[in-house]
Amino acid sequence: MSELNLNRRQFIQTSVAVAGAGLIVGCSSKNEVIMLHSDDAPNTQLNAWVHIAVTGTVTITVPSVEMGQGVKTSMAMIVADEMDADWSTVNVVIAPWNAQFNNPAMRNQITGGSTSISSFWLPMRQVGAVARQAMLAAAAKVWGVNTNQLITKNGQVFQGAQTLNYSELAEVAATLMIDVEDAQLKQPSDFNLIGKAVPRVDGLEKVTGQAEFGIDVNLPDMLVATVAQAPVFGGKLVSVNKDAAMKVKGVRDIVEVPNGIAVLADSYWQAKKGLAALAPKFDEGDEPLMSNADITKRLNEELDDIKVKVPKQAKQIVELAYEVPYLAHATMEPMTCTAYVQADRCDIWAPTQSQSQTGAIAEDITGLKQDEIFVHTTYLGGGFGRRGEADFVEQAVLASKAVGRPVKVIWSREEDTQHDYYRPATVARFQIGLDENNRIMHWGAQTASTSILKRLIKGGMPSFLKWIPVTKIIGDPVAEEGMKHVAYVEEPDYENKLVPLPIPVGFWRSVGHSSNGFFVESAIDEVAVAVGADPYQFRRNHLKDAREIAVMEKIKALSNWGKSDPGRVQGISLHKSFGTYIAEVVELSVSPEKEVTLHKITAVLDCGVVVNPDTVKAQIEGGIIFGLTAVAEGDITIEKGRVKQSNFHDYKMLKLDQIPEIVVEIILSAEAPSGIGEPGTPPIAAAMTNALFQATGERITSLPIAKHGYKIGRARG
Amino acid sequence: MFKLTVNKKAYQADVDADTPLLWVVRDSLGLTGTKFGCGLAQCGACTMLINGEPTRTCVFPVAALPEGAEVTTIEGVTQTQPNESVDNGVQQWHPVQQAWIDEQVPQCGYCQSGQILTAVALLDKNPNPSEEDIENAMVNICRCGTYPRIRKAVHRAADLMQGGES
Repeated sequence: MSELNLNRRQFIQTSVAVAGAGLIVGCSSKNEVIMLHSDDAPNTQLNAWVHIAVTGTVTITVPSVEMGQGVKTSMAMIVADEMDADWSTVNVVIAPWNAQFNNPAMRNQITGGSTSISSFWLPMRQVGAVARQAMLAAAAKVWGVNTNQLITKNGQVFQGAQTLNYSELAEVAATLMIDVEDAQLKQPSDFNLIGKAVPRVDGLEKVTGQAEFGIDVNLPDMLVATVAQAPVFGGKLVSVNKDAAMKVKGVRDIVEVPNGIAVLADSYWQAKKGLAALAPKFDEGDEPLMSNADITKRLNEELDDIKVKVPKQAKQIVELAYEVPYLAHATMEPMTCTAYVQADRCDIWAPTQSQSQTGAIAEDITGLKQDEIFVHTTYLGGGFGRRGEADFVEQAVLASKAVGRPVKVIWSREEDTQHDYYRPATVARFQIGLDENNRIMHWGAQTASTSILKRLIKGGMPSFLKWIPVTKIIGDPVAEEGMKHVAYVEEPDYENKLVPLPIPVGFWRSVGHSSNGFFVESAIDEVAVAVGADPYQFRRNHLKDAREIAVMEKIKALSNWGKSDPGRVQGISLHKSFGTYIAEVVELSVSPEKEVTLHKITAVLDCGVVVNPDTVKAQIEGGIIFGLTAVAEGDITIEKGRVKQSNFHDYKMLKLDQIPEIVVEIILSAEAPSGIGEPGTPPIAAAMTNALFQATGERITSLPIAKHGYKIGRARG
Repeated sequence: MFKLTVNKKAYQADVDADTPLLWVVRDSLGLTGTKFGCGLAQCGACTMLINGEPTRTCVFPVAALPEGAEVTTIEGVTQTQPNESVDNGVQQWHPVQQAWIDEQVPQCGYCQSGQILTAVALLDKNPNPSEEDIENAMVNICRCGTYPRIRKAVHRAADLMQGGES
């Protein structure tokens, strides 16, 4: 329901909820209309978007999961604002598995693609508006007046000096018929939460250690499992020393899982020791054992086969080539999931980005139906796309089904690093033709990588893709994002090659944009340098979109472009993704030993209407650091069919001392809200390498910069 | 059977001697505020204080705890002040926790217990740390990229502690 059909006259029956007196506002299972559920509806609690209790608490269900991006706060703010709830009485819960909470952009219950605010913006406002209308109608009945004599504010209805709290109206409201047409959305000027830096609702839990993550789930009679999976992708289990493992104190069982084996014990440490004793041996699969050099060669061969067009009229043609590596997500919380499979029900406690995927895999394994499967989403210790997969859920459900007890699976960091769905390694080439005025007249670009979507489709169409007719998936839209639309040219001549390789690939924060932002913004920078133009001005001269122009002009001023202190240089980058326009400038200096000192990073963005400016800024800061870590150090290398890196000592993360001040400015906008979780990441790689070029004259065309001897030292303002 | 004192409370745990303190506290004592990140003392998610020293407990065998050692976890940083009018007393946030809220540091929040304990230990020894002191002490990994806010929050906590506010 990207839009509620308010033209249709909807009278909706309201009712007291079964469990706990109060008013419940819910949605139809098809997510098309908002209604107030009657108490004979099945699973009333599962359908509640808003529950106004007579005790005074307003419970708002947020359909997306909380992985740090702040939606537990910002999405609840949308509902609370529209219903004029008293924010101090609001309690926020994460939705159970139920189709009515499907992400309208994905037709599935999944948190990803930076779509939470953009796709739920209108539906959540409408939910809030209906709740407010119910309060107005109830107060009108109590006072025997017309609703147009009443106003709402801060959890109360006012008629002159008279007031009634929402909690006092909940039971009356639950007996009324409400006309949704009366539920008017607020004018933006009337917002009292939206647009304000409201503190996160999960802040206190997260500074006191009380927030429950997947790894913290604890149940009576629960076993803890850890797994070993075939080091070579496609490898099979050959042998184990089961007797030795079963002799380890606390070890209770051993269960085979896809591509590996799990040891179940009373505690994690016992499971880990049991796994060491089990000493599983794996074969090397049936595919040729590829290493990085083979992969790069294979990708480049695809590009060699493309006949590129080069316009004869061009005065100058700039030819460029780039390469980016595989990257792991490295969420701080390793993959983990708890499941309890019983004869008539299955409960799953998962830090998942997709309740739908989690539930669907449990359906497949247990044969139970959706209404017998309960997905309890915990906080996620980072997601970044990794937790949209369900491999770790599958293991927990299989293990619990095998032993008939609750089982919590916890991966070691080594398993997490070596069994990810990696950001695809990608190569790119450009042929950019310039006319006699040094304007771009031809933009030829080609990329080659392994397709994420084809992997998903091959493995059995995941439910969140099932609504797309297969015949309509031509190529791979996520591999192409950021290449088909280029800010500087009308029509890029772009071709993408999908190369099947045995390395599993997946959605990594900003997905195709993470690579393509680097390619395009390196290319435009190289062309600017080739014609002797200022990198800002050359970009600016080619921009057409007013929002892109505004973002660029703002960052020029905010970053003091071109006026950095002696010895310091700047690099700039602009990349629209997930509907959001964002430019970034990195200011740095480089020592003769190739030690990079970051002085300042500036970002300017236009993401349409802003719900919570502070969580937006936090996401941009975080997205920049995520991308900066990748450009500095990120490199998953494949050696003989397996991942070489295993933990943070060889898959390095940037630390506090390396990160400079990050200034983020949001351009105020009345446009529809767009993505925030991912757009901070794509521009930073090129902003960094463009600045390095200014400092050293060395153009980095393959990432990370560590490969070329550069290290990020201490930041200095 | 190992005896240990965590957050001023005495516990016993029936575990192997090589069991890391992290897993004793999480699995045997049920205090889950401290997190597992890497198992290799690389990330600091498992940081606890042992006699005030920030320690990466994912590689610290429980048997290595000195006799009478005081272990502090995030649960022990949140102090409960006796209060006769309330059954369980009143919870009081440490100034570092308050500063973390004021600066809105946490995103996913997973690493923050370890970050906070590291900051508590720093400010205990050095009430007015320089940028460099903060950089030398705050070496835990945060994958969400809350570093700029952690930096600000440590300064704010120092101010709170010196001003006697919390």
